Amino acid sequence: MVGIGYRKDFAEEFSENTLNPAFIEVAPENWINVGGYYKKMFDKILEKYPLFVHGLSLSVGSPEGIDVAFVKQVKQFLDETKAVEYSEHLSFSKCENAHLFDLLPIPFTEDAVKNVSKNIRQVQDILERKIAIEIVSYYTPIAPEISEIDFINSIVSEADCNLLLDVNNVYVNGFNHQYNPKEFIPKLDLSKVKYIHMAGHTKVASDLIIDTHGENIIDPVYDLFQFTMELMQRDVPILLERDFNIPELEVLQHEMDRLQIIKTNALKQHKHAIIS
Amino acid sequence: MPLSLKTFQYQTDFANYCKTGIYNEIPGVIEKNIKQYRRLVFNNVYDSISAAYPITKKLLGKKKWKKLVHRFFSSQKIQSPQIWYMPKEFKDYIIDKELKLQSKYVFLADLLQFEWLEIEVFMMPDEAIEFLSETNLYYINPEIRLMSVEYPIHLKKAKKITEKDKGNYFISLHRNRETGVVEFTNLSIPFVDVLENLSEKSLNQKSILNILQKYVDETTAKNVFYQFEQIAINNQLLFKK
Repeated sequence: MVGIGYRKDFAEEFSENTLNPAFIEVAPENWINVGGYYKKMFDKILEKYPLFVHGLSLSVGSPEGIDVAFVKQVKQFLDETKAVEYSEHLSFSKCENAHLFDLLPIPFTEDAVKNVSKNIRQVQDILERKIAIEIVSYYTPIAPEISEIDFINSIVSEADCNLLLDVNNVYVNGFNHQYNPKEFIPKLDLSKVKYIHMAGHTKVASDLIIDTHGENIIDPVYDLFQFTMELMQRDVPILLERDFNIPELEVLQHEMDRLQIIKTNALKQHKHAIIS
Repeated sequence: MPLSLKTFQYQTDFANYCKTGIYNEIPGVIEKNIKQYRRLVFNNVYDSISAAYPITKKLLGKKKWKKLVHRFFSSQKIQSPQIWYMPKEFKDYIIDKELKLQSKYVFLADLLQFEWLEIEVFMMPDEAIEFLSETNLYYINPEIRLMSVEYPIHLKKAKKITEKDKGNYFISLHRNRETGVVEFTNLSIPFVDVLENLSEKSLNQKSILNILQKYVDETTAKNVFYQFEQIAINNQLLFKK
């Protein structure tokens, strides 16, 4: 199934059934303790679509630990909306008790692995469910001591959490840090991938891509997605993210359709391979 | 704490760079790329605050506004995990710390408060009205905030407000339950009294007129209430059941 990030920018058009996603995804930060016009619309949408929740401010990489009161609010939101999944970012967005509202890279170090894993475990204990953690795009490492792949795999293992594989982020990171995404993805523990994100990005320099979610998905990222699905040989929910520069909704529908076709074909090919 | 002091310091230095633009060297960092983080982080905060306070931004001008946002963001620890709520902290910061700016724009605190309440009412959780079985009662829209200001920031263009306008003004901001639009109403003291009483419980017309008659005679009370009622029912400030 292929879903879409639900945004107020296209909420009115969306309510007229101009898109046909299998599910929707929202950030809890945009809806907790919120009412009014858009909330009423959102509540109606929830009657029709399963909800995936993707957080922004949990900050599992924070040196000072997690905000327990906030996690409890998230739990209430997950319960109220009967959310299917809750995912967050492998990054920090809060430091010295101050929110920065962006996804900052955590140092790839052993002690950061311990800190992040402890934070994720605490979140999972409060939520009474496993969370999926997203590999974020980054534009510079911070004082790295271990490899990115070891950092991610160690956390997923130590925290006993799931993985949200953002294929576009792996593409962006491969480009920005000169590695081959097709060599990176097989090194992940793919059995832990619970959910996949797909999005567009913006190339701002000859050697730098920013993960903007503001453009259409480019062919090499579709190709990497196909590679991933063929490798995983397992059906997981796919989400199309589009946060800025939102086109006509039929363009988004076309992207969702293309993702579904790629996934179906990748899994079908596998079945054929088994039979033959 | 599982985090070493070294890692803690690098993360803190990186976060501080994003907040202030002041960079302390961190090992392994691609220096030409680090500015992207400062840009992304600051722009996000700047855009959210600018969207929340369009009148104040226009009043101060882009240059002063950007410096003000920078002073706020670089010096304060934002507490809310919800970015839509963050502009409230900006408003509180200006009222608490930017005294020089407030002395230049004497109505600034009122203006910021007014702009913030528009957001707060637009976003506030839905509140149900419990209608009683008794008929012909007036109910206040529970999705409302009342505020008093010293300057007529809701009646005059900000640039035209002067010290001479200083007085006591009262405003209600409420959310239309169908359209979600936030509407404001300029209130006289008798109607503030009426709305405050209605906040406690629903009232019939006679009770409302009794409140108004503390301030004006019976005929005037009836006339002003009739006019108020037409507007208030129409824009959903009040409901009558």
